[in-house]
Amino acid sequence: MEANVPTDLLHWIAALLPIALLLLLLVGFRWKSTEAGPVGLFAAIIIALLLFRTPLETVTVAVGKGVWDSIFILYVIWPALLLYRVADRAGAFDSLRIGITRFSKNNMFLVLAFGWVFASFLQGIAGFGVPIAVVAPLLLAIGVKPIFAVAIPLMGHAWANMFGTIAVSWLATNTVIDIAEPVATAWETAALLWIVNIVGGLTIAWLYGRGAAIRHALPVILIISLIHGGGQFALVFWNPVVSNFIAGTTALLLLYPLSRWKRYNQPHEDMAVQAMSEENSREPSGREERTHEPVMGLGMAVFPYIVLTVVTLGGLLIPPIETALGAVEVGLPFAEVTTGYNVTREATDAYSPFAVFTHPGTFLVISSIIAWAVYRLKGYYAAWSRIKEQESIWKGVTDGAFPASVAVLSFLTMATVFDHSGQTQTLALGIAAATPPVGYAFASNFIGVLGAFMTSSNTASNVLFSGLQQSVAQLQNLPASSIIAGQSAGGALGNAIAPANVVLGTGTTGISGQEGAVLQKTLPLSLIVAVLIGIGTIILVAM
Amino acid sequence: MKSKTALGLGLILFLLGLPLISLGSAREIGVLFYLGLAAVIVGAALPPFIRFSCRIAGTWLSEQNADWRRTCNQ
Repeated sequence: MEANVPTDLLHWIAALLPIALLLLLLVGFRWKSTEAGPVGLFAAIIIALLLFRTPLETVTVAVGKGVWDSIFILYVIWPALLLYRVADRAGAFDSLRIGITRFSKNNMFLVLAFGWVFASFLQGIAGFGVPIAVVAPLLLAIGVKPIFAVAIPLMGHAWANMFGTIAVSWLATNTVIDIAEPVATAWETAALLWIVNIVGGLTIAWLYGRGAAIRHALPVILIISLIHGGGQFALVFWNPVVSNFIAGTTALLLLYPLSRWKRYNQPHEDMAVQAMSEENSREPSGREERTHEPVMGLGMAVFPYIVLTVVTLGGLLIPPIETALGAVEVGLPFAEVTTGYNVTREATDAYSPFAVFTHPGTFLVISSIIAWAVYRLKGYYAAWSRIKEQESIWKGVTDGAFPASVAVLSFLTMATVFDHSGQTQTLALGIAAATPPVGYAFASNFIGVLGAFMTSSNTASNVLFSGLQQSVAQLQNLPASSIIAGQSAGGALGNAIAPANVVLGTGTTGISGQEGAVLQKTLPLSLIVAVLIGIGTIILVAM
Repeated sequence: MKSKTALGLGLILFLLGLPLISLGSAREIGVLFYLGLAAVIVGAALPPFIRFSCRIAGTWLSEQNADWRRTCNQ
């Protein structure tokens, strides 16, 4: 029997309430995500029980599945924090900060290099929050203020979500719906993602130093965006699966010749820099009067990230290794559940199984172990502890991971309660019912944003909403390829504001609890990008 | 209770709830099923509970309850 969720105004407002409450507490009242998340979860449960005819059994299964979904993300957070602490306790970030000045003394260039190009590359190979968890502490090391160090990779990596991680979201979308025009859907999606990409670069420059920074960085932003967005656009005609990886890697390699360009090799002109701590406002802090020499060279400082790249590429791009490692999958069984509105989730023996050995968390753990062993053999831990008093690696990891874990668990259980009770469908159908065709074309990406906001995943957003988007497109006589493209671009963009992603960054930069401050930076900028994607979708529909 | 301890306990309760809910759901063992839900609810409730406890401790027990103040400031 088909689900028939209510789409009247009362139910639509009720379904919106937990999300509005969550945003109000996080952004308006600056509550910690560990406190706001559970309140949002409880609101979703109460509304599901009272207004969406959801039995307690269904709520319980939804909660269980939400915890399971969270483990997928926690297995990135904990190892990413471990890798960061392993490097930090050996003095690697101090050495990186000092050593990086040999390549460029231009902070604007370095922020774009790490926050946009390297973050996008990591999304291309690893995904699942790794770009934020890894890049935020790197930005912190070169003197970026913590709130900006989290906001910048959030904006910088978003475009790479749909075709990144070896196009997992694209493949998932093809699994859940029958795409009639795959080539058209792929290029239209890539065209809209180009908007997310170029505005991502401009946004990072804006966050760094407003208009003056954009003027200074414009040439490099245009060049990188041509490689990122244009490269991906061209490559999807050939092979969408590797399009993002090739574009991201090419841009990363291009950084070296760009760093030789005098414009980006020397400190930039005076400008009102807001993203850097005051002493680093024009150039990296490596030239400041130092009381100590770095304990290692630049090569050793980036060694853990080189290992991470090699291990990830080896694990994912060499077919026999990928097949062997991907054979081991873990999932938990759940019974069938339903609601009074016939929202049914079938029984499963292995819900959302994940391949443990090809999961990015495993690559991070392996990289951490190798980095720890090498640093220890080289004596860096002892050398750095003589310069700076150290706490244990474990304490550093748990300080960040405990709050991040509780927040992620709350957000994702809230998302599954939303899904199992039909609140998600009510929200999406309400938007669809209230808008004319052109309006729907404009709004399609907002539904994608909503899905990613709830789940922190472009893939999950597309799995949730692609079917609905395709059906509405057919009903309203709109080209399905353009509407799916809007959904996908919105799903990618939503990762910039997803609370569980924000927590990844605040956890690794030591500012747990300041998620609201980060969202205050990324939320308005993401809304602007969503409006641009909406306009882009209307143009695609009209073509 | 330190706030870090509360978060650690909350995390453990969340994770403890998962196998109970899955097992209870798949094998239709109601006690396990709802015990799992209770574990998750208590785990989730701990951080906001600590927040409001701190408010109350700060308002009504500011002098007498130094332990709470220490907790709230951590």
